[in-house]
Order: sequence, then C-alpha cells, then structure tokens
Amino acid sequence: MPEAPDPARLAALGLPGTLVDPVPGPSPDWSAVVRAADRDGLAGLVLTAAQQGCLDLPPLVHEQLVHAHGRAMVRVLLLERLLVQVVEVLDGSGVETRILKGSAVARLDYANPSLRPFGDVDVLVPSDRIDVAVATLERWGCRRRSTGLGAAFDHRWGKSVTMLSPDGLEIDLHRTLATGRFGAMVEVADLWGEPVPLDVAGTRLLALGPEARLLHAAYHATLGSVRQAGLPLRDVAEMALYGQWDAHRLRAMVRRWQGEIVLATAVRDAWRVLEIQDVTALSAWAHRYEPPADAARALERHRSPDATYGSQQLAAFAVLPWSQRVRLAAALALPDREFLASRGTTLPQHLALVLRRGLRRA
Amino acid sequence: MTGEPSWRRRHRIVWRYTTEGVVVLPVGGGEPVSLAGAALAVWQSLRTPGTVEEVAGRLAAGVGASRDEVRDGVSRAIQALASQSLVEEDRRA
Repeated sequence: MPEAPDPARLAALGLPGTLVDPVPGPSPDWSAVVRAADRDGLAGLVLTAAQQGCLDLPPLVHEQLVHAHGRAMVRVLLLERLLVQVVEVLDGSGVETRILKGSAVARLDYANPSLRPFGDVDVLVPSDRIDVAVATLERWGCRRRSTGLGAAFDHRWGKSVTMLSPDGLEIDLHRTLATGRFGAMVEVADLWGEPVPLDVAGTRLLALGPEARLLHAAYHATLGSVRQAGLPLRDVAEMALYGQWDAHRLRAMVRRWQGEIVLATAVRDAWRVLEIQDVTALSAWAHRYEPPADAARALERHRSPDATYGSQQLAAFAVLPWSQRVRLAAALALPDREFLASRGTTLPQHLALVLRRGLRRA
Repeated sequence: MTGEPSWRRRHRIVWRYTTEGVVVLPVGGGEPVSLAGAALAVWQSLRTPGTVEEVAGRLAAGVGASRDEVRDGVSRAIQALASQSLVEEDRRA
C-alpha cells in the first residue's frame, strides 16, 4: 500500500539542517506527492531536491511537477505585474504602500525566488487611507470581493480588504497583520518604520524591515487560515535561520505587540514539522517560552476549528481599553446598509446575531 | 566603435526560473514567454548589456566554440527577444 506524504514535511526539502524524510516508505504514493506539491506551492522544492539527488522521482512524476511549477511561476509573474501596477496606481493617489508576503518574501528571504510561489498580492496601506486605496483600485477596474462592515470597521479594526483585479486576481489591502486580539496589539507604526527596498521590474518597492517580516511570517503561520501548511512554516524557518534581523529589535518589537506566544509557536511548529536540528538563540527561546495563561487561552480559541471571523474579532475586547471596546462594538453592531443588504439581513437581525455570539463568548 | 547596437534586457519585466528555462513577462502587457535553448542563453548573457559580437563572444567562450559559429544564432535570438519586447537597444552605450 503506497504511503501518502505529510504535505507540510515536503516544505523541509532542501533546508539545511533538517532530518526530515518527506517522502515515506519504499513505495510512496507519488500521486499524493504531486497533488500536495501542486496545491501547496511546493513543486519547486521537490524538483530542486531531485536535482540535488535527494529524491528519485519517477519520470512521469517529474514531468507533472515540472508542469505544476511552471504554472505556479506563470501565476507569480502575473501577480508581480499586478503588484507593480497596483503600487503605481496607489502612489498616483498619494497612498503609501509596503509590500507584504509573496513577492517580498520570495525576493528577500529565499536564496532562489522561484522556490516561493504565491497566490495573491498583499499590500499594506495606512489605516486612514484604506478607503482611498479601495476607491482608487475601484476606479482602476477592481472590485471588492465582498462587502465590508463599513468604513469605521475598515479604518480601525479590519485586517484587510480583499479586492479582485479585472482579471480576477486577488489583491489584499492590509491595514494590519492579523484579526482580533493579536491584530489589535500589532503596533502598526512598526510596520512602516525602516523599510527594505526591492526592485521589481525596474520599480522600487518597499517591503517591511526584517524584524517585522519575520513577525508577519510567524503571525501568518500561527494565526492564518491554513495553519501548519508547509510554505508558511518554511518562511518562518528561512527567516529564523538566515534572516538579517536584529535580536534586540525583534525582542522589543514582539514585546510591544504582546506577540511572544505567536512567535514562539511559529518557531516551535517550524522546528517540529520541518525537523530542524539546528539550535539557535531564537529556537531555544521559543522552546522554553511559557506564555501567560490568558494569551495561551486566546491562541487556543483563535486556532480552534470552531473559531469564526466574528469570534476572532470579538476576542480583541480582552485587550482593549474601554473607550476602544465601545468603538469596536459599534463598528461590529452597526454595519453599513450595503453590508446588511449583501447578507440579506436587517439591522435588528444582525444585532441579535452579534449579541448571541458575544454572550456565547462571554 | 563599430556602430553596432548594444542590447539590454528591458527594465519593465518580471521573470522566474523554472526547471526548463525562464518565464518572462513584460509589465506593460503581453503574455508570459518561456525561454529555453539559445534564447535563454542570450537572455542570461544580457544581464550585462552587449552587442551581438560581444554576446556571441561570451557564449562562444562558455561552450568552447568560435564566435563565428554562434554569431548568427545570437543575432536571431536577439531579434526574437526584441520582437517580444523582452530586450531593447541600450542607447546609453
């Protein structure tokens, strides 16, 4: 019986210092390898491992992976073209940007950018300019993927607004890096300080600094919707092992964000899943870190399979001063008319729903 | 100076390596183009701008051939890349 691989472990391929055997047994289930590598953007890593003699791929499997990687790279190029256009369009409206995730991580944190595919464009914009950014992209031909709760929510509490380009490619306009409690504690000013330039198609773009990039990778791996998937953990490993971050600055930043539990969890998960043998100061800290009980409970709730976007947002109440709790409650309870219409609901029905969720949480 | 044009990669382009070569996409418009063989070799050589003679010289040295043997292939590849808006004359040269 062919053995199926653990897709997350494929992400360890080519990582120095790992002991992982990503393709199990004498007769692995190669179709499962191809499916997982294609779905999770790992075809390049598998092919590179084969080129280096670490894996013996059957010819048909090799051919399927070559096609999968080629398709992923074409998509990456279409997204990078869109990224450059989006940044230029926003710049024309006076909206400053920082490049997040995909293109920035591939170009700044991987020795070979072709090993880091991505599926959308992620751009950070200033909180108070997110409505200008949305309107600018709408004039350019994009549309919101779904109707948001309203401007008050987008400005202060939302993580991001998802837009679709005329070609149907996804653009995430971020205000911050995470939803709910953990997002509310991110010091947004840290995301704008000390950017790193990168050149894409002759255009100078700005990415987050190395400390903020590592924290973003950790937040994505720990709090994102696809937890413990291979590529987010590989990002954490690449940056934790080879990033140009400064330990003092990283420590200060993660303290300001009260995000120690997020960083420690991401590093521990990366070390465990990818079976990294190296012990670094960061990995040693992550393994001995003991979170405060309330932070551990909050993370457990955030990662629970039952967690919803709404329940994650409500969790922010625990860490906000009263004045901001009132504002968040108002933003959640009193959405724009367009939001209610898009959900086919009325304000009383929506209020009842928010109240029920709030009471269940309490 | 021979008056022969010098060529360079266009700036407004994104690309990625694949196992079979390189995929290139102009930001201004157009479809992704896969480069392999001679076109890939010329594309890689044009990381540093150069004339057909210079590119032919670099590639010939790399494969132990004479410049005359590769000149026509290089010229054709550059014309093909230029027609796809992937390279352009380097007017600063």
